[in-house]
Amino acid sequence: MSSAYVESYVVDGNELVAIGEASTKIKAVLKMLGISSDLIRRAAIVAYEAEMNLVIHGGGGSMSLEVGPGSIKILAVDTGPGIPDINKAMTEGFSTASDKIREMGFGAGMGLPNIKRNSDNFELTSEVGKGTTLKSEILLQKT
Amino acid sequence: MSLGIAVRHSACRRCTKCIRSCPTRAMRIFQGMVRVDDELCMGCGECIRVCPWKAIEVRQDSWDTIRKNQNLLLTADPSFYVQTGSSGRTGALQDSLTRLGFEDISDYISTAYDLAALAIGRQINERKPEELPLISTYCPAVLRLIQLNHPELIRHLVGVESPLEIGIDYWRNTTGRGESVALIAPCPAMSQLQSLPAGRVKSNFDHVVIIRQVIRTLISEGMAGNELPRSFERHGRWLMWALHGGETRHIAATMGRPLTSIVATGIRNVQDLLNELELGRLGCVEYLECRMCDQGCLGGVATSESRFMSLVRLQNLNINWTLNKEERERLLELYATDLWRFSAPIQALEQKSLSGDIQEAMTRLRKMNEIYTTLPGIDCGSCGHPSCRAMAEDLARGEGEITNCIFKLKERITDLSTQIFELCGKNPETPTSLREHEIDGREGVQE
Ligand code: SF4
Ligand code: SF4
Repeated sequence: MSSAYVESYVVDGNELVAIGEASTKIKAVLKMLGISSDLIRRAAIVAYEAEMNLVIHGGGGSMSLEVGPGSIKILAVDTGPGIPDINKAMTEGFSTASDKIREMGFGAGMGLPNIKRNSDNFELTSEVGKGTTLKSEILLQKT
Repeated sequence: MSLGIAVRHSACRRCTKCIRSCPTRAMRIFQGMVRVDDELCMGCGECIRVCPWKAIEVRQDSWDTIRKNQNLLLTADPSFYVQTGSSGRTGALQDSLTRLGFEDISDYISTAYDLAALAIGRQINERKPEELPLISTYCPAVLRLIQLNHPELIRHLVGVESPLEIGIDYWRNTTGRGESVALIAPCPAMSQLQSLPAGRVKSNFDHVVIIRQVIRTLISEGMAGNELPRSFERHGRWLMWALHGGETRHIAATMGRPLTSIVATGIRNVQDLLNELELGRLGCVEYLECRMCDQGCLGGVATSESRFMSLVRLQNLNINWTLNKEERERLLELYATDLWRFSAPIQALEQKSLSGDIQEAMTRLRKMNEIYTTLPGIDCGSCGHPSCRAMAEDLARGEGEITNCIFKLKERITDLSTQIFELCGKNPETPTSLREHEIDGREGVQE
């Protein structure tokens, strides 16, 4: 029988200290499942950036991890203000070439493009005033 | 045995402090004995620091045997030289060793540190910006932590051998001599180099002794206090590797330009920094100088002096950071020989997954979560596992028993005694005393 392993996490929008908690847990779970280290690294980046977005922009929300069959799925849902222009959010401040951007750290618009870069499949839906849903999928075996 | 530490079971009180302090959770108490998983031990010495009964030691060879062996070459980690003496002087301890009959090869060793710094600088310059930062491989405990917990970062490791090893190679190549070599080490991780060399197939060190051991005998024999007006340290650059930031400063000096680096000392800082690198958050940084011990090797668990005092001594040294023309030429020649380069690859150490098969691992993970919710979650360690979570994990792997948890044991006893109590209230259908009476009665009726 092949089934999926699912775990979910609540991300508190007021708990700035707790940023990184969900992604740390996700990393630990993937390690115990014996997922290869490269995939763990990518999943950890996706989870971390998604978690940051939840706390900074979404006012908190929930995240879930689903492993198998065939892929790792990370879902982040919030009921925050939403993103007015998704295309813009995906490109703003994005540059792999410029170290300056990275040096600026949080809020430099690295989050979403970084998630996309580390996902095999990526889906972002958002409605202003209602919230945002982010789905990222990382394939266990690339064909 | 590959371990840098050994437990003296006779002194151990099984207080569980060590197993709970181990950063890689390499320790358990099993059948009344502290067990260390060789694979997971990185030699940081945290367990030695916390043990109230001094039951854990750094593995070492006998200093008495080493000091009597005239055919032995003795070399020390830089932190050794500032364990005693007045500030700004480092010659005294080398003099003590010389008086014991050991040859002073510090010229070779200090040149090897110059060479390592130069080679690291070159590796940094050769890398594309997106392949940076490089991570120092000087602290063997950090190296092992990366192999264990951050295999993805192995490609960031600098491929330059320990300057202590390079120094011996250089001495051997130059003199053509082949005596055995002993190292005076500041920690289990360095003593572990002997059996687990980093980036090479075989270590140059045939024997290891710890700093504390050597210093203690030197002091007790009145041999550690003499200050000779001799500048043993020559330029002193290499000694600064014992202090946080010293390596970076040395590398920058050979590069002739400032280096964007982060220096992290202490387990917690190192772990946080490596996590951040894994998340891709250190974009503009060129070098990470990580040391498992607070302040650097001065804080090694097998040193004898207060790390604050040795820090003062190092800070007061007169360091000449500029390499002169001859030094530079000699280094470039040596650089071309590849003496410094890793000759064996650094490999990831097996990750401890719950099972090699992902479906089986999922089943076990579910089981682990179930078990965990029934445990008290106070991480008392009485079960012999470092935390309730580790207990749940081991149980899910099929190792240990749930009743090793004293709370679970108490629950079982309560359940059992409730059952016994209930049973006590029940009367059998055929109690012997009643039977006779009944039988009598029935017999009476029948009559
Ligand atoms: S810290 Fe570890 S080795 Fe020391 S007494 Fe306690 S259980 Fe034994
Ligand atoms: S920092 Fe130095 S003394 Fe401490 S573990 Fe690393 S090599 Fe050993």
